[in-house]
Amino acid sequence: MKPILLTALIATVSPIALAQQSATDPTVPTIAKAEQAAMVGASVQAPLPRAIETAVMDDWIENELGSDVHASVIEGARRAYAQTMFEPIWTEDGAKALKSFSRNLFEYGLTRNDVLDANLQTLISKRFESEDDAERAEADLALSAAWLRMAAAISGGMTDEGEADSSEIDAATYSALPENLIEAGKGKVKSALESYEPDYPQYNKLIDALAQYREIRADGGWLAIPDGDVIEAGDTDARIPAIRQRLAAEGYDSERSLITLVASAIKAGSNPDAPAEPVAAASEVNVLDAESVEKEVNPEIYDEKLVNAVKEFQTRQGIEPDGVVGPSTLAAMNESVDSKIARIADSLDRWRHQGAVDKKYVWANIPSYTAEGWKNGRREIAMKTIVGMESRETPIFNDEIEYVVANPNWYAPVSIVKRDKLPKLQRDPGYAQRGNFKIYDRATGEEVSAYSVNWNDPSSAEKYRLVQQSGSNNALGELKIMFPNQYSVYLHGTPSVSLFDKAERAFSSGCVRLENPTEMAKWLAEGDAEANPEVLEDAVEDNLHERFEFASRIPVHITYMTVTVNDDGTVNFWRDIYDRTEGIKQVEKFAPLYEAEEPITTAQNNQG
Amino acid sequence: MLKLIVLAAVWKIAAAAGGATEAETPLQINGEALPYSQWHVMAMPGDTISYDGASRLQPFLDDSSVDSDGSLTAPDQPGIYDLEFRTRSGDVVADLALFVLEPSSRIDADGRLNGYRIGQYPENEPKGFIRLDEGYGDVNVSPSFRIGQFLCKQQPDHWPKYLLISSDNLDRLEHLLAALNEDGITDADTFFVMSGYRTPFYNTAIGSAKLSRHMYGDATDVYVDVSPKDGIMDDVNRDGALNKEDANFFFDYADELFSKGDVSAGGLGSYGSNAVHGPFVHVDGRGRKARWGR
Repeated sequence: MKPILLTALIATVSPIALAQQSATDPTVPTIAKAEQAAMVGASVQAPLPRAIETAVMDDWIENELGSDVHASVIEGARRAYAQTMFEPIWTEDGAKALKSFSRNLFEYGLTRNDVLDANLQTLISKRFESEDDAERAEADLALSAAWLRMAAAISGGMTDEGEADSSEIDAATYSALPENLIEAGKGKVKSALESYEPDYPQYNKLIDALAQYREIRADGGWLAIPDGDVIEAGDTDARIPAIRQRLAAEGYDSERSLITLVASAIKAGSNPDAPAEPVAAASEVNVLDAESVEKEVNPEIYDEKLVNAVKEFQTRQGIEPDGVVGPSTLAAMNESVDSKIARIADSLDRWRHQGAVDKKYVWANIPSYTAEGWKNGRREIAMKTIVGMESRETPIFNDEIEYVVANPNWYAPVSIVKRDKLPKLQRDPGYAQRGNFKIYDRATGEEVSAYSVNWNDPSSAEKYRLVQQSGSNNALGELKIMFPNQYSVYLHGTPSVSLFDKAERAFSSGCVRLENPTEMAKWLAEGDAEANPEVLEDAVEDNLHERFEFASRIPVHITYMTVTVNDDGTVNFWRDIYDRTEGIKQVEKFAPLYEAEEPITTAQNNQG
Repeated sequence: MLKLIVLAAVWKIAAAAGGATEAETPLQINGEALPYSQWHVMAMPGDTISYDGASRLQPFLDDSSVDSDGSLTAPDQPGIYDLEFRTRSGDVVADLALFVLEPSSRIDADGRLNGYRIGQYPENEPKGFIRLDEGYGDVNVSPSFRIGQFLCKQQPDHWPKYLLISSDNLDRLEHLLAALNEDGITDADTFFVMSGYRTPFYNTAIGSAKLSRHMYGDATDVYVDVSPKDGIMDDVNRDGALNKEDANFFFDYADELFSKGDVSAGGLGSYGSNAVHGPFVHVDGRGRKARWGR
């Protein structure tokens, strides 16, 4: 290859060319209005496009949307108009479809008044009936602004990542905003918007759950159960009929018991073979009749069917599923349907702000105490978790899993040493040996004996490092899964496996403890040539302290969704353990009270 | 006004046939060696186009032999012509797109060029524009790129359209694509050009920078979109995820490649996603080094 001669290269570039090419960097301020007018050339001739052009170049879109959406959304809108020389975007079909869709925003858990500040019918009238071009132009732009607001709401904001090094959302998105806006204007409002919805499987299930609970509300919702004594299986309580109705209203199988018994009694009573064995038949009929009579006159017995329904309810509310109707179960039963709908909407909104999803990711949801591995829209692995206690909340964030450590040592954070270890060491330095801790002088790095340290000195927590060696009682269990972050939070095992039997599991200092960390690590390792499942499992079983880097980083989403949906479509409403959903729009959180006269009335009806 | 200068790096030409002497001497057009046998030439109507090797090469314009002895005259009608140089034995030595430019003096008082809205340049108005009539979008301007990829996204139903391209920038894009293929990073046969030329009208209407290089045709926003072809940058760093890291990887790769000095200096930027596009890399041939976004 012949080298380029610098002299020759310079000689071929004229001074004017050099001047031309010495343009500034892309961070040039916006073009001044006067220069804009010159640069675009004369406006288009047709009256309506001309009026639209005037408004666009006067920054109508920026003035309307500037503080509500990201800059690229505005740029996208300007592109949509500029591409077609400012022809109006909205047809009558499109405008009608837009109005229709705006009335259905509740299907997405969105409130119309929160999303739109314009009266669409007024805009439509102006757009198609006004005799003033400027007014018609503004109306077309306003319809576009309305659609953009809906797109932003449904998508969670259409975030600008800007230059790559300032990006916060670590995922690709492709919006084709100008094209979609133009398609919406032709009538395809809904399909144009649907491309902006999150594609998390849970998001789609929550949309279905929202429809389900809106139907329950339309059917009247349910009534609250009055306070009273704890009810246990077999007990008789005047509130039992109300509890049955309450659970049935939400779709729980709590009403079949009485009907079944009555049907059985009727069937037995009409047995055509009875006369053939008069004595036995009569005896059997008598027994069934006695039972039936008892059931009919006493619907206040807390029977097995209802106990099972209550246990199912408790499971789906994150309450200990013991079948006992105590204060926490009553409180959960008495949450209004409006409150549950608002919580579904809140979870939908949280998914919207999660950013785009990768094919494979870990989802650890704090309130449901679960961690799951998802791939191509399917749940592939699931397990229980223990999360931070109320005073040491697990943070909500996204990151990427980089490596795992089999049989890890635990480097006790200074804060935990101060709060939890110092008191124990002060009482008995032997705690260190029993707990399998080694103690290192931070200044010299040398190991020291716990007995040689004055643990009553408050600064000892900073002077000495406590490192718990791997083993059966190591705080991190047999394995930890790392995605280094500012919170020092990661996934790990735990020796306290009995805690997983609890329904409410907020016990940790902020990390997420996994019921089965090795299984999760093996799932993460599938497809990795070096850190593969077999190698990981061997290391764990052989008690090897070993670190495995993953070739591909896998996203982990630590979320706070108080509503999740099971594969069969049943809905879980977890406890808001960190009080994070106080921001939910004000709705009546409590169902209207079941009236005390009802049980008596029911009893009377049954007697009649 | 500035006459567009076709700048080219010096490269061996891939001659299909001919003696060793011919293979070692790339064809020169207007004194500049062609970097590829498939390339482009720009000229004003009636301009003289000179070439070397008259004794062994015969020019063909739209498949008709042209009598000439080292120079030929560009047609008077602006448009795209096929300009081939063949040896006596009929082998094609160079297959060029000859862009006879529409003079910018024909932009009317409203800023239109035959109805296509150019607007007005704040400075350094180009002398002429490539005229693209319907059906000519597939004309190659280099081995891997076609003229239609660089069109401004305005007036989709209007013909003719007008645009500019930059030889320097195309050389950079070809370099980048060839290297990515050679290193096995992608087998793409071209880049997706998200944004190429922009008229001053369109650039201003969308709220872009006043002196954007896109208005001079020497800036392109590109990404690799082959596997899968879905409108989003491919996972070029092969970490299993589609995100800004792919734009960053692309940037780092291009930055290292361009620093070797085989192509002229220019700008390079890395972008993540937003409401209008996925991750991409901005490449321009501005003539001096500039880097951002990484």
